[in-house]
Amino acid sequence: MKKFFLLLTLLLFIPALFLFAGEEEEAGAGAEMKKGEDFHFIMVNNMVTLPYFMGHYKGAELACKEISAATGDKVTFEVVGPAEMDLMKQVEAFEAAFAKKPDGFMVVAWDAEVVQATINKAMAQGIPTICIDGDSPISNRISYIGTDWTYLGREIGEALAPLINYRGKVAMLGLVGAENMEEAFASFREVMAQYPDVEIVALEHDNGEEIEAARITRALIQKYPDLAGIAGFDAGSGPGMATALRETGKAGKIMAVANNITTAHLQAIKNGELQYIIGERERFFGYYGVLWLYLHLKSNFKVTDIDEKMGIAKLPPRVITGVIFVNKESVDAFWDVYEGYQKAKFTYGKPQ
Amino acid sequence: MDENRTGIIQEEEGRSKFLNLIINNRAFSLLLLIIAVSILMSAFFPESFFSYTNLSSILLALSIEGSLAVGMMLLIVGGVFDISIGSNLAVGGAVTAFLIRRAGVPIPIGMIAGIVACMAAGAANGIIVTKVGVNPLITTLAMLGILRGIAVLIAGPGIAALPPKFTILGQKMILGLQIPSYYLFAITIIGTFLLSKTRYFRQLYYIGGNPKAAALSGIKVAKTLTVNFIIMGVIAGITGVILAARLNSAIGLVGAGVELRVLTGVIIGGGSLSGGKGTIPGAFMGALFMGFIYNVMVIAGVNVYYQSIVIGIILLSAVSLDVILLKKFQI
Repeated sequence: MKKFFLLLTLLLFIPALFLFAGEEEEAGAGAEMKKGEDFHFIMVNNMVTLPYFMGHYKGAELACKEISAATGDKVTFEVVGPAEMDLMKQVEAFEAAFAKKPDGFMVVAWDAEVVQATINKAMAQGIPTICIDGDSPISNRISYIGTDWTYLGREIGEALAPLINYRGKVAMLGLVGAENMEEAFASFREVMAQYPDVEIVALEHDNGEEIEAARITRALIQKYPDLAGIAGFDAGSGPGMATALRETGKAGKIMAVANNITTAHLQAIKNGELQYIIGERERFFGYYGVLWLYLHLKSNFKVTDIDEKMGIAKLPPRVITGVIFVNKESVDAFWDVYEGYQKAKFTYGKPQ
Repeated sequence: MDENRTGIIQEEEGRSKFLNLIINNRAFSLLLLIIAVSILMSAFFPESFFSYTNLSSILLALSIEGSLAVGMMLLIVGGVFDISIGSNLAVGGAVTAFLIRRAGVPIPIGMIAGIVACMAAGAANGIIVTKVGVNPLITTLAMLGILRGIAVLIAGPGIAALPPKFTILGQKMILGLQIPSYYLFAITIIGTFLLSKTRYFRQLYYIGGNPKAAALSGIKVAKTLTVNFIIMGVIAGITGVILAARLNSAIGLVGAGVELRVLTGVIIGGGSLSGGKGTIPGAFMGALFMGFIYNVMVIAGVNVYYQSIVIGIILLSAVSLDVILLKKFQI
């Protein structure tokens, strides 16, 4: 009986030894064979399906492909956030995304305060987080890649001023209260203040909606029949302004300059309803967003030899990406690019 | 002496009739309010406010909310409501634009398909509320999300540059008014006729007042309410298609938040969330009042940072005044 139990023990124990030994060997072999690492980044956004954001996503997609091909690492990204404009839902999506255990976050900070706590939480958990397109400088984010809205506002002003011969009444439309917009409004005002014959008669909130922008523009035209120019700062402003200018027969009579490039904006340029659109270089945001996070995680670069001791980040705190100008002469060249964005389906809600 | 006495009584009766009209006819009281504010605005801004062009602008801005308010009032009178209308209208525009621009379908078929899609969503709402027995708030809230998702799926990031033969349906001017204003008039007139002159739709007052009693008296409550959900869907479809034509683009996100503006207009126009009350002219005037106030904000040059506060105060004051008058004078 004792022999039987000894035999049984050996029969069970010896194969188990081989089994464990095999596992150890496999694990060791796997570690040696593993040439690439997986990196998954998450972009946290609002109104995620807007045509405007297709450039962000395309840029991120390109960066993932290029880095993966060049390094052997597998780099992917996905987008989380609400389809509508809802800051709290964006934060909820941001919080929920922690469960996906990302290697880094790219946050489009529509409002610096709203995302501040969650960015800080991510950084505290060791998840590198950068802001793209919209910044939250009050947070602990590592870096910001995007437009300088002060510069953008100035450019809109500089484009509109000569169109109205540096004189007349001017109105502004945008997302009043949004920090980036307020920066742009302020610099636009500074530009116009240089011209004593220009009077800014209104700043109106269009909620980022075309239909609201159209309604307000019509009312502004009604109130100021001698309105010389109108400037739109958010994605809905330009097409809404164009609709109202067309409907009131004021297209080409009231000069209109808007931020953002979509096919609706380009169509408005073609129709002569908008004279200039000043777009952001959206692909930069996604492209450098992914690249920055990857470099932060992989690069051994040091700004000084005492970076860690002094808390110096290896990434620049702000990267300004510039703007793109489109007018009637250049509109056709841009059409195909943005028509492509328009036809693109939003497929970025899963790892790309 | 007797003659004088009679005169005083007549005057009191006359005043009381006028007051009763103000208290009991919300459309009339809102009209008076709009006239009063219009007189003030015209005094301060004679050139910009008091003009046919501005009226045209107000009506155009009102065309979406006003049309939807008609369907919503039918539902509210029947004791139910639909908060999925904003998403539903986005589906209407998205389906139509997709079929016309991407699939090359003839314009009329694309438009009919868009409206039918919205009608189907309305029917689904009606069946779930009346047959399954799910609360209208929960049903239409869930549908709001579903339909928004469908609109975004179909329209993607947006479908622009729609054919001129289609966009003319939202952009044509007739006698100084843009065509969506005429759709609003037509929908309002049809709605008024249905709710005030037809037995079938007048049943909604009984249903909204007491659905059990209505059912016991032989009214087909579930069927009637479902029909009205379908009508709401059709109106959402029409407004969605026309909006896409007007804006020359269909956007998956269009119409977000419109349901609250419509409900506010309907309640201000005399509807009651508990059902059994309201008229279509009331809904029209409620929506007009809302559109009117937004227009006044811009024309009066109210600082944008104070506009939402001012609008909130005006709405609260209007409703509070109504409640006070009802308490004081209703017999």
